[in-house]
Amino acid sequence: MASKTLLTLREKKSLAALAGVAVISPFFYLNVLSLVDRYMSPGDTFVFVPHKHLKVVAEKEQTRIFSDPIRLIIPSLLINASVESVGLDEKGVMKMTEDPNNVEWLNISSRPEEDGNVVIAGHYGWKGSTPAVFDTLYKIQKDDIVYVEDSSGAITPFVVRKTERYYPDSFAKDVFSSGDSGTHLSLVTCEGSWNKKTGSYSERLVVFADKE
Amino acid sequence: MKIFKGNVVLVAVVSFLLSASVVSAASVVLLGTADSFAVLGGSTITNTGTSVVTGNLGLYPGTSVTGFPPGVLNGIQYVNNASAIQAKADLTTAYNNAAGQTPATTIATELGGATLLPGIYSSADGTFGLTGTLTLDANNNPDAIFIFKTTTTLTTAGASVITLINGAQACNVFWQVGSSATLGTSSVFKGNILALTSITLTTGARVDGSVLAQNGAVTLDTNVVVKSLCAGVSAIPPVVASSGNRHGTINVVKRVINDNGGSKTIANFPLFINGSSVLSGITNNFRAPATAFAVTETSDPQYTQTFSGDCDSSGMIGLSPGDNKFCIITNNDIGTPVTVPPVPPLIDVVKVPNPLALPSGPGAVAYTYTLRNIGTVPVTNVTMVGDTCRPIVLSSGDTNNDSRLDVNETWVYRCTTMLSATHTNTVVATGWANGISATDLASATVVVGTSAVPPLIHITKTPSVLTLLAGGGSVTYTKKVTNPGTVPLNNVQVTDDKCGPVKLIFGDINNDSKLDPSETWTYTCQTNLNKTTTNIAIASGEANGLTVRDFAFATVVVAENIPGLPNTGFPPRGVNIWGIAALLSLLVVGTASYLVYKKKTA
Repeated sequence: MASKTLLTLREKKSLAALAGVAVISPFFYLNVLSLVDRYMSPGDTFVFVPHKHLKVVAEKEQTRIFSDPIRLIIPSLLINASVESVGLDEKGVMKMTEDPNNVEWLNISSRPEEDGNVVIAGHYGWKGSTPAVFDTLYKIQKDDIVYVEDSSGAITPFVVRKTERYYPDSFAKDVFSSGDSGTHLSLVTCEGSWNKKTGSYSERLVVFADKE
Repeated sequence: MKIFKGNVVLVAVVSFLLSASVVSAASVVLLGTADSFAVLGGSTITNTGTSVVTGNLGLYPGTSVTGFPPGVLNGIQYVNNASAIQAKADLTTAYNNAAGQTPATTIATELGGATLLPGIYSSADGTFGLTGTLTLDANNNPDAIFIFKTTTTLTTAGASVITLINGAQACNVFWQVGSSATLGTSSVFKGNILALTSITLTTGARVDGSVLAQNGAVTLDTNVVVKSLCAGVSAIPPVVASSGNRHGTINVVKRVINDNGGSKTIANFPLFINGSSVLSGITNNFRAPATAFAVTETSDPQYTQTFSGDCDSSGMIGLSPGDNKFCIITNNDIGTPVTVPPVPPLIDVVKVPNPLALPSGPGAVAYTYTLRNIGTVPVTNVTMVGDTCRPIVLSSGDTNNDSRLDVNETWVYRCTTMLSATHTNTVVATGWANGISATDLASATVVVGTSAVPPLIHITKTPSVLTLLAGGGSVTYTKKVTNPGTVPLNNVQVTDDKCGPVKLIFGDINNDSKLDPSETWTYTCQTNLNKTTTNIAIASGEANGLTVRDFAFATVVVAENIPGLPNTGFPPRGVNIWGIAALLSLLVVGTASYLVYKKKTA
């Protein structure tokens, strides 16, 4: 189990950030505890899935199977949401569910750790008395960390690079494909003024983040 | 000197005899698109038992093709569609051409016991029969044509045989039958039957050629029909490099990608080498060395065409003695751009002969073919086309009997043949999913007459993703190279026509720079793709003076339309009357309590 306990400096930093946020945020603390619980085993002090080591294994055996994302965590905005899987509608537009609490992952986009763009969208605005999950996404800052957990339990950290605004009908190629060999995350939500007639906002906000 | 003189005399005598018996020269009957068909019918096609048809099968008019399975078709079936209509039209032209060739030499109705030279033949009573053996002698001219014309029937007896000698080829033998043809039980027939009405093959009859019925039915019963292709030379089997070998082979392999709504299949693109029709996956022999063979196809304006493999980008291919070359033509449809890319199939085939060597001379060789689905979608319409061993029989693997090669299913095929000389043969496996074809091929050499064991090599290639959204992205190809043989391989090299560099990650466990039978060498190669791409990896290795190669194909589909951004909006938070009312009431209650408290303490 040596590889499990040997963390790189970068991973230690990620953990420190995670721990720091956990301490200052009692709300978030519970979630971290549940994650810690999941990877704790008797005799270990703290067992974290070291994704860098997984990658080495992958290069050697190349039988890597990537898993769908199931949870999105943005400590700086106190966001911790379940991820649902969605496809495209008949017009080729990414579908959304009506649940204000969850975010949606485009199931033909990349999976966490896989090369390409992991595309995750969430609602903006309020549904009744509930603020939608990405109602505060516009507050995100460059270098904030976004964690995506996949169904295998692996957690991938992404660092925010920039935010961009698009018109709703843009051909936003960069959101869906990067053209390079890195793993990226695109968080999509709405912004601008609400149009009652169309039931849509005037802009789309996209947060671009890169795998740490 | 005496012996030499004797030979001269003999040659002179033979020449005289031949020239004395020369009959009128026949010219080739051009079958047009019908040339790719082993079976063509004009009302119904009915099979009983485990017939094996190699070549295409077509029916027009009519729609009833029955008995496949249990019959096996190593080719494509065209029923009542444009390809069948065209083939039937071309058959009519060919039939009329054969019927019209003159002058015909009139010979006896019974062909048994005769040895005939090239020419045009008819019988006095307008029918031909064969009991026993008919020998066709091409007089060392592989292009020599034989045409037999009847106004009524052609009937062969049980166990009758046609033998081809001195370069005669079944592809050059034509039987123009004025009504119907019937071939006897367990008979062996050579040539193309062009019948005005029907053709019946009784139990166990074998045809090297084709059975083409214009207006009536084709009836099969446990037969083997192999569409026989003309080679540039006589039927010499493909061979490995050795001194004195003067031939090489070319195999044209077709791949079709319908990722934009197209529906064409392999047979929609007739293939040619130097203008002669060839079939996808079938090995063709040619004299070598030769600098330039031209591989062409009947192209389609709605499809792009890409040449790869051993031929250059324009389809030209050179041949050295002993070469076994492969020219790959990929056609990709130009249609409606899609947003969600269809998932392409991915298959892998490996072939192992047993034994690898027959040191004490001719003997039986059993080939085992292992076909796997290494992709993510089930593969349908699986065909295995072998060039010299037939029939290739599915022995196990389709555990749920759905005739689909499901993900992670492994199908095992077997074929046994007699080999009398060192021989390399090839199998081409093809399957379909989501309108896209997958191909893999495997070659194996068996050495006869020496104890040198020939090497075998096998490569599989898996892309990290099979589909990409518009704009494309990074793909990492993982190649695994193994040695299914028994001798370690030297000088192992892996190349990829559209990705480089190909890096060896690990696998040479004992660091001896040889690919041992127990080892798997893993290579990777990363590239960025922005459009649908098929690439070919080639692995090569050497042992005992022989070089072996294996190919691996993979298609990654890149969509052209960018997805639309989702509508992620709920209405903004409005003025909540109840909320304000609640706050106000809280304020009122608070103030009231405070006042009461103050009053009490005052």
